[in-house]
Amino acid sequence: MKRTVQTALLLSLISTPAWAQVEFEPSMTQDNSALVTQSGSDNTALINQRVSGLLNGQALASVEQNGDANDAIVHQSSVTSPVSGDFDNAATIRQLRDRGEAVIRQVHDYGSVGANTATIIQRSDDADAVLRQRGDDNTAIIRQKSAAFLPFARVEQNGVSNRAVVNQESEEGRVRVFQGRFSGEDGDSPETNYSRAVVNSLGVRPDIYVEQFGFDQRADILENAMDGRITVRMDGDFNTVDVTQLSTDGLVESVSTQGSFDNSAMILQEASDVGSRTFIAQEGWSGSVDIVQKDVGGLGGDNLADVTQAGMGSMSADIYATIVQDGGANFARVHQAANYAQSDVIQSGMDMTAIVNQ
Amino acid sequence: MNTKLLASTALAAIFAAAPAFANESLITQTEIGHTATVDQASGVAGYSVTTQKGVSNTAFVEQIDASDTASDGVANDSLIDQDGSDNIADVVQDALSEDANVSRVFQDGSDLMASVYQLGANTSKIDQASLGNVAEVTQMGELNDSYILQDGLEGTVTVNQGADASAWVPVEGHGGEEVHAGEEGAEEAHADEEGAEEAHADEEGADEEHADEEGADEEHADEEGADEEHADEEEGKPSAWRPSGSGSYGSISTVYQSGEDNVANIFQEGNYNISMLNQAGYGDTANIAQSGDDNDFDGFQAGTASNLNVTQIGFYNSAYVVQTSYDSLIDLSQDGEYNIADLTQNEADVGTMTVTQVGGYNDATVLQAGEDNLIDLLQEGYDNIADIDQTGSSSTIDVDQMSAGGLVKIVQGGGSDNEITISQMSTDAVAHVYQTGSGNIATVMQ
Repeated sequence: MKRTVQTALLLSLISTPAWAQVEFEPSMTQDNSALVTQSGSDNTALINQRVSGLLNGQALASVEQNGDANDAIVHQSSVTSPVSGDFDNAATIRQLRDRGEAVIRQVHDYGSVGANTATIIQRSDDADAVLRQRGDDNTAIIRQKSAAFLPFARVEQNGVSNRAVVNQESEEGRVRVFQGRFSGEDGDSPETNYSRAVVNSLGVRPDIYVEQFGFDQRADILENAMDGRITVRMDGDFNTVDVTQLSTDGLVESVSTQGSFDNSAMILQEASDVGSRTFIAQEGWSGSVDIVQKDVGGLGGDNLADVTQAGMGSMSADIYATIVQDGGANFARVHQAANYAQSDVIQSGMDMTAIVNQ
Repeated sequence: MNTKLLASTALAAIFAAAPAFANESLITQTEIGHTATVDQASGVAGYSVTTQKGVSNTAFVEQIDASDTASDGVANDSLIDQDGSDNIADVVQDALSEDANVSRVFQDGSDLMASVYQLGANTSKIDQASLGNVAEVTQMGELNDSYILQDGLEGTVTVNQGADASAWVPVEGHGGEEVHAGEEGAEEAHADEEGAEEAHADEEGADEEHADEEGADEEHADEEGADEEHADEEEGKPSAWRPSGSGSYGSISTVYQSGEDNVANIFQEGNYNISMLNQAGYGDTANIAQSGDDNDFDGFQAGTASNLNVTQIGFYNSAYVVQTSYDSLIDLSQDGEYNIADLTQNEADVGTMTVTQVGGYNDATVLQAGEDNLIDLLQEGYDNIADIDQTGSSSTIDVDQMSAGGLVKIVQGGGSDNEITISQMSTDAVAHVYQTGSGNIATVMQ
C-alpha cells in the first residue's frame, strides 16, 4: 500500500508538457520502466535496460522527442535475466521533428513465451530508424510519416515468428529488412523461421530491400508512387514474396538462392504501369512465379517481366511461371532450366514480345 | 510540537523577572584586563549577573546545584554582558533536577570567546557582534535550547547537544572529513570539564543506550526488522561520524550568522532534535551532524561560496536546505530509513549538491536553478524516491539507485547542454525524464 501511495504521489507531481501525454505506469511485477521526453534540438536520449547484460525484470521504455536533430537509443535485453519468467520488452520512440535518429536493440531468450515489441515513429524529414531484435515472437514497427523526406528504416531480426512492419509516406525513402542473418548479440543466433516482413511505401523513388533467411518466410510489399525499386532476396524453403506496385517505372527483383525449396513470388504491377521491370530468379527446387503487369488506364506499356528458374522439379509443374501483361510494347522472358517446368505467358495489346526457354 | 512548546517555555524564562534564588551575585567591571569569577557550587538555583565594559576581560561563572530545586522551575541563571574586544565568557551550569538552566551571554567587540556548558534541561543564548568571535555551547540532558547570533566576520559557532564532540570521530571516505571541522572548537570545549567525561565515558555501551531512547526501539521494532538492520548498519557501515551515544532528546539549536567566512558546527545526538541555521555572508561554512531518530535540520545560506555539510544517522530524519547564491555546496548524508531531503539552490551557478541516502523509503526532493550546476544523488535501499527539478544550462544530474523499487522523476528545463544519467541497478524501477532545451543528453540504465 505504501508503495502504491508513493508511486501515486510521484506521478501526481509530474507536470508533463501537453505534447507528452504518454501512458506510463510502473509495473506491478518487478519490472523496470523508463520514460524520457525531450523538447528542443540536438538532444540525446539513451535508455539501457540491459546493463551488464542483465535484465532486471521486464522492461518498458519510451522516448519522445520534439525538436530537430535528436538521437534516441534504447537497449533491452533479457538473455541472462536473474529473474525467472517469460519476459517481454517494449520500447517506443517518437520523434516529431527533422533529422531524428532512433535506434532500438532488443534481445531476449529463444523459445520465450513473452515477446519483444519495438516501435519507432518519426514524423520528420531525413529521419533514420534502426531496429534490431533477437529472439522469438518479436514485432518491429517503423512508421515514417507526414510527408517526410529521405527517411531511412532498417530492421534486423533473428529468431522464430518475427514480424517487421515498415510504413513510409515520404520521398526517396530507403527500407532495409533483414530477417535471419545478424549475429553478434548475446548467446547463439539460430536461423530465422516463420518471419514476416510487411513494407508499405507511399512516396516517390523508394528503395526497398528485404532479405530473409530460413523457412516459411513471407515478404509483403506495397509500393504506391513512382520510380520504386524493390529487391527481395530469400534463402530457405517455403518462402513467399508478394509485391504490389501501383506505380510507374517500378523495378522489382526477387532472388531465391540455390538452397531454397518451393518458393513462390507473386508480383503485381498495375494502374497504367509504364516502364516497370520485374526480374525473378529462383535457383531452388519447385518454385512458382506469378507476374501481372496491367494497364488499367489504357496508357501503359513498355514493361518487362523476366523470370529465371534454374532449380529442379520432380513432378508436373513443379517449376511454374505465369506472366500476364496488357498495354503496349511489353516484353516477357522466361528461362526455365529444369525438368517439369511450366510457363504461361498471356499478353494482350500491341507490340508485345514473349520469349520462353525451357 | 511538544519540542516547540518546551522550547518556547524555556525561551520565555530567559526574559522573566529574576526569581528568588538561593545564591545571587552581581559584578560590574570597567576598563581593561579584569577577571570575574563566580562560583555558585555549594547551593541551589544560583543567580549571577556579570557586566564588563572594556577590553581583555574574563568572566567565569560556575553554577552547580547541590540539591534538587524543582519547585521554582529554574535552576541556575547566568547573565554575562561584555562590551569590548578580546573578552572571554565562560559558563558552566549543572542542575540536578530537570529544571532549566539559563545562560545569556552578550558580547560586543572583536575576538570574543563565549563558552557555555550546561547539564540539565537548558537554555543558552549567545549574542556576539563584530569579527573573529567564537561561540561554543555544550548542552547535556534533554529539551535543550541553544540560540546563537553572530553578527560579523570570521565567526565560529560550535553547538553540542547531547554529544561529546571529542568522541565524534569522522570516518574517512564518507564525507566525514568535512564534518570534523566541528573538532576545531569542540575538542577544546569542556572535554576535560567536570561531568563531561563522566557523561560520555561509557562510549562502548552508548549505542545500546541510544537505541533504547524514547521508545525509538519500540517504534521501529515491528518495521520489517528495521531496528536490527539499523543497529547492524551503524555498527558495520561507515558513516560520516561516530556518535558518542549519550544522547539528548528534544533539543533545539538555532544559529544566525551574518557576515563573511563564518563557521557553524552543530552536533546533536538523540531523538526529536531540531537544528536551525541561517548564514547570510560570503564563504560561510556549516557542518551539521545529527544522530538519532526524528531529527530535523532547517538551513538557509544566502552568501556566495557557501558550504554546507549535513550528516543524519537514524530513522525519520529530515533536512530542509535553501541556498540562494552561486558557487555553493550542499553535501547531505542520511543513513537510515524514511528520511527526507528537501534541497534548493536558487540562482546558483556552479552549485553542487551531493546527496547520499542509505536505507529504504527515503525521499529526496531537489531543486536547482542556474548554470553549470551539479546534482549527484545516491540512494541505497528499497523504495526510494528522487524528485529533481533543474533549470539552466550546462548542468549535470547523476542519480544512482542501488536497490529495487526506486522511482526517479527529473525535470530539466530552460537551458541547453544539460546531462542526466540515471542508474537503477535493480528491479521494479521507474524513471521519468523531461528535458527542454537543446543539446541535452538523458541516459537511463536499468
